[in-house]
Order: sequence, then C-alpha cells, then structure tokens
Amino acid sequence: MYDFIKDPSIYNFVRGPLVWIAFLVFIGGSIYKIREMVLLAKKEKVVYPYMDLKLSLRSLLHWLIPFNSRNWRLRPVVTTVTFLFHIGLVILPVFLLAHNVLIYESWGISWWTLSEGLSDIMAMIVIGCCIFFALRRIFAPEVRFVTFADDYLILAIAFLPFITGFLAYHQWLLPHKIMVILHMIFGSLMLITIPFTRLGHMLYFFLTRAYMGSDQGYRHSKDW
Amino acid sequence: MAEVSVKEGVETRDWIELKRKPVADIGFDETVKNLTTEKIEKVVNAVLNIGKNAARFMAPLETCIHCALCSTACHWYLSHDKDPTYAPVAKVKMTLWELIKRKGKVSPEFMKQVARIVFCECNLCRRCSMYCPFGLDIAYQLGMVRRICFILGLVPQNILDQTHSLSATLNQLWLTQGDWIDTMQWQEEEVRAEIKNVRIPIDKEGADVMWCPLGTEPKVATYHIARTAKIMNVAGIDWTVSAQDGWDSANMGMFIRDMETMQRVVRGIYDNAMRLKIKRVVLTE
Amino acid sequence: MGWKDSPIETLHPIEFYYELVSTGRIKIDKNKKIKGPITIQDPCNLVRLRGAGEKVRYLVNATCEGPIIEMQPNREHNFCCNGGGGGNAIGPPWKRNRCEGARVKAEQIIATGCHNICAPCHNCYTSINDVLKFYNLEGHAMFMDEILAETMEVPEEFKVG
Repeated sequence: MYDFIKDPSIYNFVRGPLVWIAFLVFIGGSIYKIREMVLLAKKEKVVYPYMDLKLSLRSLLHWLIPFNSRNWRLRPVVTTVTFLFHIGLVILPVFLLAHNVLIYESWGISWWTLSEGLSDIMAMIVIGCCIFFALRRIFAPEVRFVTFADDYLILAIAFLPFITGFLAYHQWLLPHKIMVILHMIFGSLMLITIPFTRLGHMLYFFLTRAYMGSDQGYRHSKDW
Repeated sequence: MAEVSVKEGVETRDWIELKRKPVADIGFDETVKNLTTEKIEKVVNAVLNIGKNAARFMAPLETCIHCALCSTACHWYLSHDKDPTYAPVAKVKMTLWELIKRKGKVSPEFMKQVARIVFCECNLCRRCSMYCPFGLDIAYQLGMVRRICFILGLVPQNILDQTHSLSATLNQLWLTQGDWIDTMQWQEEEVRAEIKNVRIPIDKEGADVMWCPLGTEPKVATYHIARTAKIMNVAGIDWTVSAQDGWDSANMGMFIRDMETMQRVVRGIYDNAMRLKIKRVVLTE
Repeated sequence: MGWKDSPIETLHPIEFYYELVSTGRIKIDKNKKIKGPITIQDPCNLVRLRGAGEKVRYLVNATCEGPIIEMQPNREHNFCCNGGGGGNAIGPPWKRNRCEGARVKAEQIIATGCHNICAPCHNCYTSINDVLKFYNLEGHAMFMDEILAETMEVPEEFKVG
C-alpha cells in the first residue's frame, strides 16, 4: 500500500487527470443541477411570477452579512463559526500560494495570494470550525436528533482536504509527498461531491434564498 | 393490521415513537383502523410523485444541511423546554424524510403519529422559514404531508367536518342560505336600536365593497356582524354581502390541504364578486 | 389572499379599517378611547404574509390612549398564537395540547404586563383568550372591529331618538 502510493504514476495521475476530472465534474455538475432546478421551478405556477431580482438580492445580502439577520444575532457563536468556516472554505483554496504556484507552472497565470502565515491560521480556523460542527452534532440535542450518518460524511468531506493540506504544509505525520497525494485526492473528492450531495447547499443557497426573499418581499414582509 | 405489516417485512416499531399525552380524536382513532400499509404506500407515492416535479418540494430536500437553526423559531419547541422533537426540522425528519426513506411502506400507527405532528404540533406559520439560513419553505413541506394525511382520511374530526361543510355548502358550519340571510336581517334589526337606519345590503349590485365574514360569525359570533354594520354605515361605505353561497371566507380546505375544496371556496367568493360587479372584497380571514 | 393577478382586489379588514381611519371617513372619539396599556398580537397571516404590521399599530395608536407595549419579539418575528393553520379548527380535544404549546405566548404576554391584547385575527382572538384562561392570566383579547366600533365617533344623524 505504502509503495503503491509512493509510485510516481499515482502522483502524476492525481496532479493531472484527476484534478481535471474533478473540476469538469464540479462545473458541469453544478450547471446541470442548477439548470434542472430552474426548469423544475418553471413548471410550477407559483414560483416564477413571484421572483423579483431586487427582493432576492435584498434577502441574500441580509443573510450573507454576519449578524445582519435576526437569527444570526440570536446565535452569535454559531454565526461566527459558520461565517469563519465558509469564508475559509472558499477563500483559502482560491488564494493559497501553493495552489497559485501550481497553476502558474501549468498555465503561466497567477493572481494575488494570501501570505503563508495567514493561510496557516485560516486553515486552522477551518479545521477548528469543523471540529465545532462535529461536536455540535454530537452534543446539541436538537441537532443530534436530526443528524444522520451522511451529515458526518459531508462534514468529513469538507474536513479532509484541509487537514491533509495543513499537515502537508507542516510536513507532519506522513511523508510530504504522500500527504500531498492524499490532499489532492480528498480535494478532488470534495469538488466532485459538491453538486451531488447536500454539499450542494452551496449552489441552492442562492436559489432558495431568492425564492423566499421574493415571496416574503412580495407580501410586503421580510425574511431576516 | 399488525399481521399484514409483519408479512410485508415492515417493522412496526422501528421508528421513533414520541411520548405525548394521548388525545382521543375520532378522526385519527377510527380512520387509522381502516388503513393498511398498501393503502398508505399508494397515497404517499402518488403525492410524492407530484412532489418530484415541484421545485419547492425538491430544493429543500437537497439543501437542508440539518443545522437545526430553525428550532428556536418554533413556539412549540420553546414552549416545551426546547424538546428537540418539536423543532421544525425534526418534524420534517419524523414525517417527510421518513416517508421518503421507506418509500411509503409504513404502518398505520406511524401514519397516525405523522398526522398528529403535522396537524396538532405545527401551525404552518412560516416563522421557521424566516429563521432558516437558506429560507427553506418548511411549511410547504409539512403541507405536503398534511395532504397525504388528508387523502388517507387521517384528519382531526372537527376540521374534517368543517371541510365537508365547506365542500357541501361553501360555508364552514352547515348554515343554509336561509339561515344566513335571516341572521343578516336579524342583526340589521338589532343594530337599529343603536344606530339609526342601519342597512346590511344583501346582494347589492355594483357596490364598492363586498364583505365576506367567517362562517362562525353568523353562527355563534353575531356581534362581529353588528360591529361591521355599524362601522360600514357610519363610514358611509357602499357595501354589500352576498346572498348566495360563497360568502364564507374561512377556508379549512387550505389548512388540511384539500386543494379541491380550497379552490371551490375561493372561486365561490370571486364568482359572487363578479356576479355583483364588486370593486373590492374584504375578507375577515 | 396575497396572490399575484387576483381578479378583484382583496383586503384584510385591518387594511380596510386603516383606509377608513387614515382618510378620515371614521373619526375616533377622544373621550371613548380605550384606556390602559395595550399590547398587540401580530397575526401571521396579516404580518408575515401581508406585511400590514404598521397598519395595525396605526389603528391601535388612533383608538387607544395607553402606550403600546410591544411583545418581544414583535412584527414579522412574533410567535404564532398557536391557533392558526387549523390549530383552532382541529377542535376541542386538542385544546389542552394547543395551550401547552403556546406557553411562549403566555410568557410574552406576562412580560408586557398588559391586560388589553389587540388580536386582529379570528384565530388569534380565540387562541389568546384560551391561553389567558389556561394560564390563569388576567386580561382579554380585543378584536379590531370591537375596538373601532366602541371608539368611533357616531355623528348626530345616526343617533337613535
């Protein structure tokens, strides 16, 4: 097993085709899923007539800014953790120096990056948040009651790329190369699973929020 | 019934049974005796198949991340010392997700509990949607479960009776047209003791406003009619009430998701408004 | 209520009364105004699904003397009275169950310390009265037509005798 992972062809595979496949599946799958849902919504008589861009953006904005909706204010701890987690989740992979170097080597383009120290802190925050969510699933009664095995699974899918990336950066636990391979495998896994599991809440968030915002806004009410 | 379930390989007690004070309701206790797993399966799948074509139904299913942030929005949850089984997401879990997971193969006792959750422990007030970070329409989902229960006949007796009344007479409490007109005239007479020459115009064509009371008003709460007559007359409004059926603005069909009756009630009101060439309708409910 | 493309404009009585009072078709008699502090039960259908919270407050301000002591939370965020969505209509066997589920409502009312509760919805009206009785609270729910009919100015030509 150990020798198998050390085989350079594995590294070449995960660095090349696997990442390509992952991105294709992620982008293609996301477009497919959103398209399906939008078409499905079109069939319903009551969704489209209510949709309103201004009201949707209003609702989205209120919920995307921390502590700007009443439920965010009521639960400061969960709110802080949720926002830190999701900001880290989205910003860190895109602006990480190491990722940029890889992209530069391949295509010759690069963009602004985070400093290494900041990336390290952000990675730790994301990992910490994951642990918080797991503990919340175990210890908060109302969350435990509605937790299924796949909730832990999707949490693990989000957790693994970050923990492996963090360990690879510090070269702890496993040899650097093996950790990087694991990191790439888990990263690809996350990208592939986003459109097809409930990680897809990343995509549907904007649709469901827009619908509820428009619906409530149409009734001269608000939903934050 | 238990024998049938065992033969089908359905465990009767593998779902979470809630510890609630038992409440006797003929609508649940008697109809549940006529149910079988096959019947339930048929209805559940029929309703869910419609649901599969509905974005409002599918999007929440695929989005809900089970964060339980909606729980504190629910007055049932807060009133019961934060009992997790009263949280909105828990109600969806115990009803809809369970039905989907088992593809409708559930025992009648399970359905009875589902009916109790959706009818008697949720008001579809949509407060949870306001507190959900995704704005998921939880009320719509529980409404779908109400529809399943309604088609199975698992509805609290009182509300089912009122819905039957609506489907037969277009009002909530089995009032006849004669009773209704009589009550209006009686109230007109009563209010005349206080306000001179009060009129409750019945079936006046071309009036500005048509007032549609709740079925309970002519039946048990006639003072509402008297007060409305006072206000309308003092304000000098050109108003009327409909003499024909379709004057009741209560819509129990909506509550139990009896869409057919619901549409007929709404249509009855609009038909009357069109017939009398009304400009605006004031609905008590 | 609340559809797009409805063939005829439909109004909730509150919206209609708001129009009557704000345009001066109904005048409020200053001497008859309801005394004492008053709190408002925001009905789901009126506030969350119709956005008429401010209209209720306008009417209460116009007809009542005492200060409005808001329930916490209020307006769109108010708790359901537990009588809506068929909660009342499921009938007498469930009354106890319903009142137990409305404990937050009772706590809200106690926190305001008001005895007058304006409940401008039939379901809320019935339900609030049940809750008050169940938890042995003083006070009573008031329907908007009740408040308006009591406090409005009745011109001379309408007076009997």
